[in-house]
Amino acid sequence: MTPIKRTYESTFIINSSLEDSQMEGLIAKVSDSLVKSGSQILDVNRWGRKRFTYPIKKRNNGFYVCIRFTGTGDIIPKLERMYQLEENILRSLTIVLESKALKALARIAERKLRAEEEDLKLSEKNSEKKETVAEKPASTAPTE
Amino acid sequence: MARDMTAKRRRVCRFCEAKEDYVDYKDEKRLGRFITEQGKIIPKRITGTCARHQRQLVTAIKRARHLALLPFVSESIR
Repeated sequence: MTPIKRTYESTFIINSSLEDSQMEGLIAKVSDSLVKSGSQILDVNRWGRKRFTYPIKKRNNGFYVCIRFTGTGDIIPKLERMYQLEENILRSLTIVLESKALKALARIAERKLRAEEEDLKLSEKNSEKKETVAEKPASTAPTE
Repeated sequence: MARDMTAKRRRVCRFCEAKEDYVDYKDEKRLGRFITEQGKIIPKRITGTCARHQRQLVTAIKRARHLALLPFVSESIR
């Protein structure tokens, strides 16, 4: 029997006092280990530095990273073990994304894309308007 | 009179209104509306959330708390 493939979402918090290159290294390390154990990474989302609502390990902020991947269940203990051993990862949360959640998230992503497109269109229109406005005074100026 | 009206008005579940079938733990601003100033989860009889969405909401809030996106106890109480 082949094990079932599922989609997972894993969010972890990196010590924000690290340098950017070290953080990137850590993210690469996590994703590499995932790929090595046979999972496919769908999406790596860096939320950036965020303030905690309560201190974790006497720190007040951290760098949030959210990785979405597919794979079989046996990679999860490995991943969690790595999170535990890595001192610069302060907190982590790994959850299974059910089909319902996936659909909902896809819908949200689509809505975001559409909103961005509309924003682009709007900004294009605005810039066109600005150009026409800018041209008018130039045309009226020589007549004075 | 006006107060009576608001008290009687049936509250509709916000998630049903928006036709959402997944409550995301990452959306801390939205979840923040369902906790008290102290950081407690507000019961569904007050917010009007339906049973299914309240269950999802509770897990989402607990996940958000784990990642320090929401407080267990508010700063002012501590």
